[in-house]
Amino acid sequence: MTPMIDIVFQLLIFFLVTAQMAEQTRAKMNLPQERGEDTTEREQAGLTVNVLADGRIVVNDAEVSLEALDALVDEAIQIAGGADRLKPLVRADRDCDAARLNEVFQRLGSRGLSAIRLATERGR
Amino acid sequence: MRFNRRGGSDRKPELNLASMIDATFLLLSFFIFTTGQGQTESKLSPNLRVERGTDAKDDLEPQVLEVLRVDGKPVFRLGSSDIDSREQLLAALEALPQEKGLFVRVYGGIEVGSAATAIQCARDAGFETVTYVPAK
Repeated sequence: MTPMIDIVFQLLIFFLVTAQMAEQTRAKMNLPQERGEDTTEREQAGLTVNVLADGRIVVNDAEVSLEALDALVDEAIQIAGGADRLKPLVRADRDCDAARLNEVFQRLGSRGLSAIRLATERGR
Repeated sequence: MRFNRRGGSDRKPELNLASMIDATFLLLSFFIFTTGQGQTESKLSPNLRVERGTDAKDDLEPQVLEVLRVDGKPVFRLGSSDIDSREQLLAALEALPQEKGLFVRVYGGIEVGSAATAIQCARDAGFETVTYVPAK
């Protein structure tokens, strides 16, 4: 019985750790409830910008200012190999003022990014 | 007196691999399954693709849908008509020539949800190119 118990406990720990990590990688917010596009291919964003309901901007679990966002975008562009190859995903809370989203879009546009995706969630 | 040395106590110990193989295959199948299922943050949500336009007014803009707040309510303005329901907006957009693309100008003071609704309706109406224009 001992090896089986070992394996069971290992699996249990693995599940607990991965569930916790999966929870932490997503910023909690209410995305716009829309169907999205009918596309089968989903490209890697390379950069995900979260805009919370109160207007705060969160990237990689860290709150950033618009100025700091510029530096992150530049870094992401460098990693992607050019602005045309980077297709950032903006996850904005549906209750957030669009003025804040406009600021983010303008910032992204000022770095040469043109194709931006707005995250949605399917209605429950 | 002779003792039987072929008794059970003198047998060489054998390693039973069956259970280890069982566990290994279980772990292997688990990892394969979870690797396929796990998605990065950027892929977790459906999304709407938009082109980003300039915030400058351009007289050559072919078709502009404005999303703004009028009398405290979100309104979709298409030309001279103000639309306040999703169904009407979709019907109005479907009547437009889709090949020219659509500019969606979003004003401050409106919720992101309304902007997303406008973009979704444009996509549903068949517009391939939807350009998001931040309004000042």
